[in-house]
Amino acid sequence: MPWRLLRFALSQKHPEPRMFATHDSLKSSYDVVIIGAGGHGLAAAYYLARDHGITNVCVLEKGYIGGGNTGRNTTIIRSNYLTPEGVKFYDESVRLWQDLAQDFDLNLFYSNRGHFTLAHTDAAMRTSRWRAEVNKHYGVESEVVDAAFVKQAVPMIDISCGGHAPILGGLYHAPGAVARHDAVAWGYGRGADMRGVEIHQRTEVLGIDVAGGKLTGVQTSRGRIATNKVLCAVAGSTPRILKMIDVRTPIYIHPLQAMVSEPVKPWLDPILVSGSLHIYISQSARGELVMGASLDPYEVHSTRSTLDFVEGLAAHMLDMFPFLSNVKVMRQWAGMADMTPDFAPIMGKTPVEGFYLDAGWGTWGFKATPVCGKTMSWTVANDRDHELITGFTLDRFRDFALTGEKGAASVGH
Amino acid sequence: MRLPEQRGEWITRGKTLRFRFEGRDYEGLEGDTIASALWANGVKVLGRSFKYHRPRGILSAANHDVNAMMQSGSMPNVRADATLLVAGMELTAVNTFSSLDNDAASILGRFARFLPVGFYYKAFHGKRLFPLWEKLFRVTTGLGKVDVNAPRKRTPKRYGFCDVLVVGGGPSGMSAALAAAEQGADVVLVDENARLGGSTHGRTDLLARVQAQPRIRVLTNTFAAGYYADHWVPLVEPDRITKMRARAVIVATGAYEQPAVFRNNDLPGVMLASAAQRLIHRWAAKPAQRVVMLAANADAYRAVEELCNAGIEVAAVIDLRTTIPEAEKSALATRREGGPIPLHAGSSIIEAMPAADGKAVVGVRTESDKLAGEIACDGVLMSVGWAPAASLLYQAGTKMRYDDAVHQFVPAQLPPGVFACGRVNGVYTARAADGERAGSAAAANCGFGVAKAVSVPAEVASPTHPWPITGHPAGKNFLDFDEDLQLKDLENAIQEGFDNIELMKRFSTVGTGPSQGKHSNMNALRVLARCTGATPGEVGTTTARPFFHPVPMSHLGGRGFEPERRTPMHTRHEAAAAVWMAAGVWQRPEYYAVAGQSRVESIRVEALAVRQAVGIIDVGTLGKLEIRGPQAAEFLERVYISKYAGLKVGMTRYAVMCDESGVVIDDGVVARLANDHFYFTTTTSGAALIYRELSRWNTCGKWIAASSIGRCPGGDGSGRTEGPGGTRRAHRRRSFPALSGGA
Amino acid sequence: MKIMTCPINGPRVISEFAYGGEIRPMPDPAMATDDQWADYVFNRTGAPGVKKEWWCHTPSNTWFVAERDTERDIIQRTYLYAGDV
Ligand SMILES: Cc1cc2nc3c(=O)[nH]c(=O)nc-3n(C[C@H](O)[C@H](O)[C@H](O)COP(=O)(O)OP(=O)(O)OC[C@H]3O[C@@H](n4cnc5c(N)ncnc54)[C@H](O)[C@@H]3O)c2cc1C
Repeated sequence: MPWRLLRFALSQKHPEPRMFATHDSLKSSYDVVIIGAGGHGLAAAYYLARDHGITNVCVLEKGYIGGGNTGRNTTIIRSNYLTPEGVKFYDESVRLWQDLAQDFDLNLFYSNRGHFTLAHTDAAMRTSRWRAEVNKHYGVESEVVDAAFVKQAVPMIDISCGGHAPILGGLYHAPGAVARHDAVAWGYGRGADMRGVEIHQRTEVLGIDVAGGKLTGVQTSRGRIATNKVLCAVAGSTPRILKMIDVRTPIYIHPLQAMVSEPVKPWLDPILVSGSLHIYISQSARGELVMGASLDPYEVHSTRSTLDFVEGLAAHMLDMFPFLSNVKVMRQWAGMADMTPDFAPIMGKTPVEGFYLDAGWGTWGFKATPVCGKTMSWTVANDRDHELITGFTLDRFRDFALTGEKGAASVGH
Repeated sequence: MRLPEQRGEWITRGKTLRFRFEGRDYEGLEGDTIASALWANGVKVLGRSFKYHRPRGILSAANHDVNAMMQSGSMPNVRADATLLVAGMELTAVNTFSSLDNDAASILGRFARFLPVGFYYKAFHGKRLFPLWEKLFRVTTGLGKVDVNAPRKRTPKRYGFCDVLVVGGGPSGMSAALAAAEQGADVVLVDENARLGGSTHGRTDLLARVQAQPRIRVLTNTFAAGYYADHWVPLVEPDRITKMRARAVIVATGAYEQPAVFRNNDLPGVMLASAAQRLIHRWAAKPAQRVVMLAANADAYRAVEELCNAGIEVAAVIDLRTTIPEAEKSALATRREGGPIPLHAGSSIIEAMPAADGKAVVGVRTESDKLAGEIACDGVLMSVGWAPAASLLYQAGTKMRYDDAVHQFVPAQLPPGVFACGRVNGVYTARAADGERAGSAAAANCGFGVAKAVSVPAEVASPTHPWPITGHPAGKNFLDFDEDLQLKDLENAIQEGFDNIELMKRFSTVGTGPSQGKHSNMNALRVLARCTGATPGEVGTTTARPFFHPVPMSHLGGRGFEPERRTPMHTRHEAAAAVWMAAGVWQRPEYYAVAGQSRVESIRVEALAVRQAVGIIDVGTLGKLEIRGPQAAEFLERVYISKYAGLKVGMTRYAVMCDESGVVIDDGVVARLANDHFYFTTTTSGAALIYRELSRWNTCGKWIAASSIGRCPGGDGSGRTEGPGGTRRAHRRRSFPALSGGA
Repeated sequence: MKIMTCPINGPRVISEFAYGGEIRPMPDPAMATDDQWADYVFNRTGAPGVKKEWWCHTPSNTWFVAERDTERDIIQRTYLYAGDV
């Protein structure tokens, strides 16, 4: 029993203060306004205050802290991407993740489980090799492994997948991890709050004021705020905000669904992704199996669930793990993924002076939460794109210079 | 203990079933659930709680007794309260350390003070030590065990259609089904229980009328797992799933009885009054010898009557309300020889007293000053209120509002084609009338008759108490039994800033266990409302996502059809000893096995043969398209990067296809068969997609006047020769004019 | 499962259909600047609303237009393309 739990037993009253203060009203102006209290928005607020000394900041959230995709995601953290821009960026994020719980003094259940991208075809094996080469070049641990290695790591797997999609091998990424999503938002939120940032929940941004190409203020459900800098980190709501300032981007919204089983005793250690079967699975600290699949096939701006999703996911999961027939699915849910054509994010400055964008995080942005906070806070503070995000700017589409991550991001998240 | 025969009981006396539980032999009766059989055998500790490993018994007997989960062979998490007993079952309680009787982990209960809400966020996170702690957590976490050797179950799926789907076979559901059927609608009525009747326990004439109505199909032992767009409802049966497409859906799912919160409200023997009623009426299992009733509604007094009829002694009724309608009280007067049953109005149970070993309730202490001491009992029944089973309504997009008259959420605005009646609609007294109203309206909605005006009187008294919660300095007053959450856990979560319903749920984990908050969400919401000075309506509920009850993966996965495609040359390959590999849905030879040689050697032999002589590659898996029309060549030039206007008839040309951004997306070969007629191929994986995309360009006809694009049947064989001898021995199955390589 | 009405084949489950995205006017490829072309190729009206979209009934390979509320996923109207959207 750790000593730090002793104080709970010794104290009559629950000895914990509020994690985040409530504020009765908004100030009339802030140096920086951040839209969206998901992981990304809160992380940016945290680093703005901690690293750049900018504390006259508010974070506006239409719902509650972490209630967007942050609180709905399946929390896979990895850096085994395909493009040099991607690998460097996510690798920096993984580095930040490792110390985050200690920085926050909050257990994030950051759990290093190892991550397999299973290959069932020659083509998938080729992509694995390609990724492994790029990864190793940038110092990221990543190995091509054969079917026997997979079988040894996960002995209960049906390596033939019911006979119709035999696993040939895959990419093994030892640093692959999962974390407790909500706690990440709370940790950043508490850290920002402690340093003077105001977090306003149930405060929706309804309009953005631009004069002469420059940002001047934000209209909210609780009144207007004057500011010259806005960071937009609203994931699935990005197109709505961009419409307010008339900026066109390639972002489109499709739902991404997931499901979770009843708790069972832990039997699965690593995170498994199968590109051919379009599924992935990990087992949480509560013993629940967290399972997902690919994106919904068409645009919808809501978090409704479909039956076909769970049917397809279950059928393929049983190919890999037939014995899960007896396990019950407890709950399914969805988030709105802000997708881009090249499966890379859109970050940095925009045509509107003072309006910064952190979006296009689709199905893969949870792992990037720390590094996005770091680089976006730098970008906002210096009014210049941070060097790690230059491959992700909006201009790349105008220049037909895409950052193609599809091969590493489409199912794996 | 088994009671004498109860009218309409579900067990078959004389048909005994032997089974084992925790290493001991027992006998139950056909029709028993696991829980009822054990209870009838006097076994009251059915499982251990998730966090503190406290002994737990029956709470609801209605499929949310998450603490009475069993391991049955390779089946984990078998719900004892809802699973039919089968002869020969070998059962153990899940998640115990050593045994249910002597669970080593129950020591955790002693440390409860160290383990406040969210304690695991506040420690164990040292970078080096976390992996060690985590190992320990992974030992203690989880419930049942998966058997990794269990075979895949292939569960059939079926499609169903009906006009009106009625979910819930209680009085409101049955009368809704009747009203809809009588107006001419084809009705399906489902209920998760083995028999219709709901809380009437069969004592209603609706049952016979439903059975006699030919337009009603009844599915029992079946639950509606969720509501999906356009009235698409999966009905989960024990060995099958039916995907029902209805034209209207009536939600008559009733309400979950809610526990009261007081110290030790989790002891075996403390249960919902409705659970005791189920034990009596369905399985004739005696809930207890001598009970105390904690009451706050008329249901409590009806239950008292039923208990007395079954020969169970009611020691006292403790009512949270200060004024109790005379009509309700009258039930107490004549029920005991030595005078009426004592009633303590405006009082509450402060704590239930445990037996020395902590495994049973032996009495209660109450708030009432008239009572100095304890009331001895071996059962405590809670009848303090209900929460609507509204998850299907939420999933359908219903707007709900909190109705102070019944202290529950009721539908405020239903989506088109969705109806609600009975308790889920806030109607407790005139349930049959409410069902008739909904049934008639649903039938009318499908074009059968007109919606009848049925008057449904409002409730005179609320069936639900707004605050069935009693604090205690020593805690152990459980609010969520799945997650072992006590009252103070929620108060502390709120104190830490998790003061809206979603954050509170996420931090405290209330409602996230296997019963998904069926017995905890409403009380949690009340605590939050009280702590923040808001009304329950302002606090609102969390989102109710599918599933209503957990659904086995086998049901969702179904039989798992994996179609496979073969080329016309399949048998030729087979004759050549092909070893197959999958390429998408296609079967392709990976190599041809040469007797006595390895895979690599066999491949070498083949490669050499092609190098030196000739080989045939089966390209039958490629997409094969045709285009005809005066502008066919122009069309191809739009989508492929080369020119085709000048390609001579009878010639072919390699073709690379780009998307609008200039990215290569496919390749193939284009052959000109006539001036206005081309034949071309796509990659195997691109076949369907490219055909579809080209068809779209052709439909939108932006720059091409009508061409016709056709897909050549996939079964058509095509082969391509490879190697130096190729052109001489060109092999073609299709009756094309001879083609030769274009420039 | 959701139901969509194919103008040729009538109501069918949505799994029989393929989504082709919002109908966007194409600039004249011969005249458009690179910027205009990039805008056409990549950018879209991502915000929710009632949109005119391409959908294909795949078993019959019928492309048609659907007017759909992308916020609530409600299909308001479907019809064959007549060159006027
Ligand atoms: C099912 C699912 C699984 C996923 N799995 C993974 C995974 O395994 N690994 C991974 O790395 N990523 C994963 N992702 C992606 C990841 O969840 C997201 O990319 C990431 O969480 C985005 O974080 P965010 O802070 O940018 O956005 P969010 O967490 O969505 O936060 C945006 C916030 O903005 C608020 N907001 C919106 N509009 C307004 C307004 N007008 N005014 C005020 N506030 C507003 C919203 O309420 C929301 O709280 C998954 C996503 C989903 C849906």
